[in-house]
Amino acid sequence: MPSESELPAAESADPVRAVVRVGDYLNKLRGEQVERECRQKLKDGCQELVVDFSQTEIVNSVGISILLGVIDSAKGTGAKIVFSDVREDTAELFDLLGITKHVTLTA
Amino acid sequence: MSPQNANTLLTGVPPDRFVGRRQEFERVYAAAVTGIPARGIRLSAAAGVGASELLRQVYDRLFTDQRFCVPFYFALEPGDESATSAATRYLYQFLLQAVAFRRGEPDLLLTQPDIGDLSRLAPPADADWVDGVREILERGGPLQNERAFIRTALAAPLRAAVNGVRVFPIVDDLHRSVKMADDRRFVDELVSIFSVSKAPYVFSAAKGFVIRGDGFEQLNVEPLSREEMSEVVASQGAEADVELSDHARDLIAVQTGSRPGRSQALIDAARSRRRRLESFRDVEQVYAEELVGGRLGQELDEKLLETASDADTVRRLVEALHFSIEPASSRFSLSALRERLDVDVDRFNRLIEALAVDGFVVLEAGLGRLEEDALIADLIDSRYRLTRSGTTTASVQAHIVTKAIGRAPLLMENVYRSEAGLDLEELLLSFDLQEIPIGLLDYRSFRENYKGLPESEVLERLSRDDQTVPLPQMSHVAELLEHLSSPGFAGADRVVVGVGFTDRAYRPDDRTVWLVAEIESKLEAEADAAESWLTKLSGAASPLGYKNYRVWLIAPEGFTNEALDVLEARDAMGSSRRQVELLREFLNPHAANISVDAKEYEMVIPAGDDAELISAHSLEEIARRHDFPAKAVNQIKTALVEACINASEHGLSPDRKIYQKFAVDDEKIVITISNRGIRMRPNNQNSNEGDASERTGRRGWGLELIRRLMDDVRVEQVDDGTRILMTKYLRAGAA
Repeated sequence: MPSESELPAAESADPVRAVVRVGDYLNKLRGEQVERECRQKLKDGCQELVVDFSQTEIVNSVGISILLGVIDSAKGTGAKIVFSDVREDTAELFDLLGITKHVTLTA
Repeated sequence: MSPQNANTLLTGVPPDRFVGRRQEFERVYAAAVTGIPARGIRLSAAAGVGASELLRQVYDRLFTDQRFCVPFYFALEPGDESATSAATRYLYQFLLQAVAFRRGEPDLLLTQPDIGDLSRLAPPADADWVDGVREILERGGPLQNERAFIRTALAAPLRAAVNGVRVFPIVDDLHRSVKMADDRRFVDELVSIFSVSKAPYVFSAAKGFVIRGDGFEQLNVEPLSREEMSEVVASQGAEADVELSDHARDLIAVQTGSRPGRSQALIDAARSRRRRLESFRDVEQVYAEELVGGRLGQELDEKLLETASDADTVRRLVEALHFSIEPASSRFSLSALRERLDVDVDRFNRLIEALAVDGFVVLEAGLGRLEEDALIADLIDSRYRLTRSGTTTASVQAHIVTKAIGRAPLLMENVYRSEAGLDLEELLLSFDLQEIPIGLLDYRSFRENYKGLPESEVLERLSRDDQTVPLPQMSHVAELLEHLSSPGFAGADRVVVGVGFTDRAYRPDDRTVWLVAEIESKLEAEADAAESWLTKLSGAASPLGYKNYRVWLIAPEGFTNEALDVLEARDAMGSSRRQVELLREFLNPHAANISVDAKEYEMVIPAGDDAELISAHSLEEIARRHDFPAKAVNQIKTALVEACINASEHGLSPDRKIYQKFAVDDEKIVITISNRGIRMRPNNQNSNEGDASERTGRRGWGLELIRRLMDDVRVEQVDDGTRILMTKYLRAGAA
């Protein structure tokens, strides 16, 4: 069972590129945490925001809707947004919902 | 001190089945055994909510469990036609109960020996005062005059006290005196006699009945809470061996207005007709039968006849009251009613007072309105229809049952919404001029500084926040609907009005009024919603005479920047639900939180706390056993999680549970997710067009996601709540 305690964290001291980890379950609470971190990074001048899904097993619609807000914010600042290490089923879900049109998915 | 023994004397409910009323019971019991306070307790309750049962429970306990005082219970009855006849019965009952208690023989209460036997049975220590009482009774009536007899009879417990026998009198149903020939004489003499008592006693009457006199302690017995009443109904159902579903039980609890006598009548009717009460329809069918032709209706008919004295007056009364049913709470002039009834002033005054204490009408400054009680409205409606030519009992019953079935889901929905609400009244009353961090009230500040942080960090940061805002001290808080009979907008039941002061000097200039509304919004509430609510509340404040007031809006997810600008321009505040929960915790850190209890597989999980993950992993195990394709497993898991979240966030489930069933065969899996509470509204659920990313509304598309991931989805509205059936075909060509 995924751990409940994992918090999203920002890595990399590079102000231009920042990585934010999603954790095991993208729900409303995690979504808000990710959003907060991402907004801060964008405010700090990040040009490439990498959202790390390597440990994400489950996403729900509330979490996804919050990510859409992050995508909008990134667009607003001209930053590139990348979803990294997305599992196949999660990628299919993003594709189903049209999110992959707005972000880059990487392995 | 809680009722322990199984003996029941006056009460028909064993102590272990008596629900609630713990504080009231303790207060009365303590007064009896300690003799403190040395004055009367005036107990007041709406008709039928169970105050008499509470007092009988106290009596039983006093009789069996202590020897400090002699308990004495007397209640006025319909057969008490005058103060004299009531006083005679009072005197006999006192003698009977005192002798039974002093001898330790409760069976005497059943055998009802005559006066002579009672006198012989009295312990020698009590012989003097018992013989004195016997003499009064044996003379068979007034001594020198009627008044002297009445006063002597009523003073019997005090006479015993003078002889060293402490008595705890409980005199109940005093409001029935309005139906006596000599009106309030019994009550007035009783109050006069006991005004010199140096020991506690209880006088109980219906709410609205005035007992003149000073120095009473007031004890109001409120209706049982919905949860407590549900427990009562469950107990009644179990005792009667009637099959009762949870939602039928709760409907009965709500529809009977938390009146145990009414629910017992429905349960008894179901038992006698061998009917189950498993659906709303089952309940309403029995309800209509009982109201139109059964015990429930007959008891109310008897009260009306007793009040009005003749059938003709009852008919005219029903006709007049019928026109007050719609719109709800419409008022009528008392003088106009008297003219329609064609009775003299004295008779009308007694009639209208009796209707008020019996819970048919409410009197307000020369005007009256029908009590807000669906059963009373249905009674009047049915009796009016029965007087119309061409109608039959069956047609009236059909009318009542269809009306009741139609209203039941909304009735329960309002209850669930109310129970899921933030209890703003309690929150505002906890304001006591404290200074609180601005982030607890202002959403903009909260979003910037606290949103998304773990709770422990939020509270820790709040405690260090030096930007504060003062709260007022609220002296009175009530729902807006209590202030205005018809505020004229939807959602008014979630608005409270708080009136208080901003300073302990309590100067006129320190007065403040807050209008607080809990509004609905899936995302951050927009500017137009804020504007709309500000306009509505301004319109409501005006007839109340409030010129200077503050508006505080609470939306589940807070407000957009534009909405916050609108609010700020009008000196209003906007907060999220989360902020209010934190505020409550900040103001009262020791307050108890609501805790959440977790070839076909069935499971029940708690709503919330990410419990949907438990379902998801259980499904993985089921899938492994049945060899599901991997892709299908992931899709089903996602759909399952969405369905659980939907039930949790929107169901307002009273039991906070989500029920799940997984039915698997070679071709497919059918998952049923159900919850009690709000029914899911049908909306445009068939659109599969457009991407989620393109939408302007970014919430509320969980159901659509489910439809895209599963092969078949059906949303069923059941009596109480919602059921979703999701089917996934597991093999190619199986669909």
